[in-house]
Amino acid sequence: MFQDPLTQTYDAIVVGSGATGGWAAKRLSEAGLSVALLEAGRNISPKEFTEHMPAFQLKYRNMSLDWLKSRPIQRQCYACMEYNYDWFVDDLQNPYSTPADKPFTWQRLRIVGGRTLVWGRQSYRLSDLDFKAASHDGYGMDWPFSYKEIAPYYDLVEDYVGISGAAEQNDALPDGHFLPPMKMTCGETFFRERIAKQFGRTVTIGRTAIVTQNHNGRLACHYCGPCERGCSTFSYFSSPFTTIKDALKTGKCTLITNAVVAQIDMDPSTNRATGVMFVDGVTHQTKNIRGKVVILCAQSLESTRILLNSRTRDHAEGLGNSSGLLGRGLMDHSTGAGAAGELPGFNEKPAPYSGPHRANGIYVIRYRNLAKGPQQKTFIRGYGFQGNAIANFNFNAQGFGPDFKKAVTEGIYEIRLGAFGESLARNENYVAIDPNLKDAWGIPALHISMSHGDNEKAMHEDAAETAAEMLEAAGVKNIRVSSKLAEPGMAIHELGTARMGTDPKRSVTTSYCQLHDVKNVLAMDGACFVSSGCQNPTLTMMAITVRACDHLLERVKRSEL
Amino acid sequence: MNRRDLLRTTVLGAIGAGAAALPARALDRPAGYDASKELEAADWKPLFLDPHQNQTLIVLSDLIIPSTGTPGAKEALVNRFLDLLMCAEKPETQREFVAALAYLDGACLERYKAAFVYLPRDQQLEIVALFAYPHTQQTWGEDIVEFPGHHHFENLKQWIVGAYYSSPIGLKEIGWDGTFPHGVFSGCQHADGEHSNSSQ
Repeated sequence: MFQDPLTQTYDAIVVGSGATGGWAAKRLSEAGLSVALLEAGRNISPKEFTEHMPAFQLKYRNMSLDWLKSRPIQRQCYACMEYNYDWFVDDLQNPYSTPADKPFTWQRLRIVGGRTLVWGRQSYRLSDLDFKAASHDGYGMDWPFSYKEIAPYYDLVEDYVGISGAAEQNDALPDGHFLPPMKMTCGETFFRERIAKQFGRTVTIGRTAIVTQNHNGRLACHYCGPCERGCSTFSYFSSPFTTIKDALKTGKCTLITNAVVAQIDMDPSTNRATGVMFVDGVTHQTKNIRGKVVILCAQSLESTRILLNSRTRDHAEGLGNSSGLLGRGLMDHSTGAGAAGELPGFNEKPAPYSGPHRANGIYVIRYRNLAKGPQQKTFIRGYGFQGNAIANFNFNAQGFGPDFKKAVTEGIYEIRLGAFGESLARNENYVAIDPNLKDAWGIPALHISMSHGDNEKAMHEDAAETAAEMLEAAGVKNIRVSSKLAEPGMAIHELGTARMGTDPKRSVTTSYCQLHDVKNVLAMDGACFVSSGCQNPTLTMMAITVRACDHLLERVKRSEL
Repeated sequence: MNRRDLLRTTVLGAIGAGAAALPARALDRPAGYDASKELEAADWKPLFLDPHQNQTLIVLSDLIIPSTGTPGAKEALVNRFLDLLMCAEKPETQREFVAALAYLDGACLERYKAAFVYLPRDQQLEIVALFAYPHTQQTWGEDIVEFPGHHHFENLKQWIVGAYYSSPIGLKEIGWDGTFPHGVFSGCQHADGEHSNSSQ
């Protein structure tokens, strides 16, 4: 018999079905809790995957997205393509504002799986150099837990997700439970050896959430290349076909799509959340769903937006905002600095269009401002590089005619490094509700104000310099260097705005993602980050979610909720 | 999990009435749809380019990517695809594209008193060779300036190259054989310490 899912009270409501929401739904439903998993967008089907579709079958062959009027912001994302653009939000329906001189590119998806469908998949652990960064250099706040406390959750998440990589015994980037690493090219192996010898720096193969052997019912990568268009063998990690699948299998989890959450419903007499109010994405009807616990996994800025939009008389500045810090401390890794050039002397040829292609590259582990060793005078914290050295078809060959055609297929051996730098948590970088702007469902939209500061700028000058220096040491020709900072948002690593901490006056949530102000509301995504590190953050978000869920389950057991 | 499984365990969209109604999707295309087939229509006519511009593009693209052992840009219908793409491009891009074609004709009229398409092959090759590489030019008493023809040529060349190497013919040229999975990425096969490159 069909039961209206809105007539029951769930043990937990999870808002958002991406990397963290999928884990929360899996962890809680497998422990026996009834879970409502709310997703603002529609469902996804593997039939939509296009990773093997040759470009010419598309009307515009993915050569340009200027015709895509509905997504002027999303189309700036490297992963937004003619193949998959409707997984990304419609910018006209999902507006936000910024100061005129502080552009911010907010790239996001509303669909079951969220950004795990198109993510870059690079997966790195943070270390105590990150968790205890404030103790190291005096800036900002330490995290309320240490590496040792989160390490078992990294293990657990990696064992399930499947991260391929190589152990390096480098204190700045702890090793994990890896599946066999993908292979380096000859140029990359040469570069690794040269950089180790000359600078003592570590170049490792990218640690990526792509399985290199069959794993948890998913097949090993078949090296076709464009993961962001989906994967028929589910070889890269995306939540709909892993965590959410597991959650639905328990029979305890109800997935509700097109549920655009507007606010958390509160009972002022108990100061507890009673559920959430959402707008049906299709019919625009307002609905309420009841739950004993509300867990926000909507993406850092969306989760904070929901909290800010949940103002009550007792929480006049937004739910969980007694510290005044809700929305403050927005971070996004700085990108744009790097170097590239031609690496001569290798006879590997470009892989044919049909493959095999490796959707992964190399990673240069952070070497600035380490726990021991020299400290930089012009900046604190550090950066890492992603890159590759590989033969590509030489579409930019000079000239014309038969010689040009030949030059294209002969290829060019190129090497490139692009920096990801730590973004400092600064309170002047913030999100707030824009009183004059609403989205297509009538929900007040965000004003985002962020710019990179002097530390990020100085760091990127250094990153550009050391990238060029490493390429020079490897004998690279025609080196092109960039130290230009990309505008905030372009790393697609938005973090912070509801930071965790032990002191309710200086933080929004506890170490277990629970709001200091409302005991049964939790923010389990990137919003709770205290500092950004320079590592791609999704793996850490997932580990934090599982840790917070396990703590929540203990509290449920003790009947605290 | 297949779609039916998802549907079974999922409450889709509007809860209650109309629960099974999926919103229309922008990307829906019939299975096996191939947009490149539409370019092959016998009665194809340019929509963006005028007939002269279209002819100029055919000749130019075929000089840049000629038929050799494999078919070239003309066989790949590069002009037809670019005509379609230009229809959808922003005005600035459209203007730059036709300005580049016009600049080529202007240079031909100046040198040879005839538009590009009417020149004999050797003169077409001569002018393309001039345009294909960067030059500077200086008039007495003026600053050195880059030869603008090269900039226009590079603009057209990039579109032509993109259109060719994304066509069925061009993809075969770079190793597309109709399927994708081709084994693992084997990478460097050398023993430790033996990767140092030959030039250093």
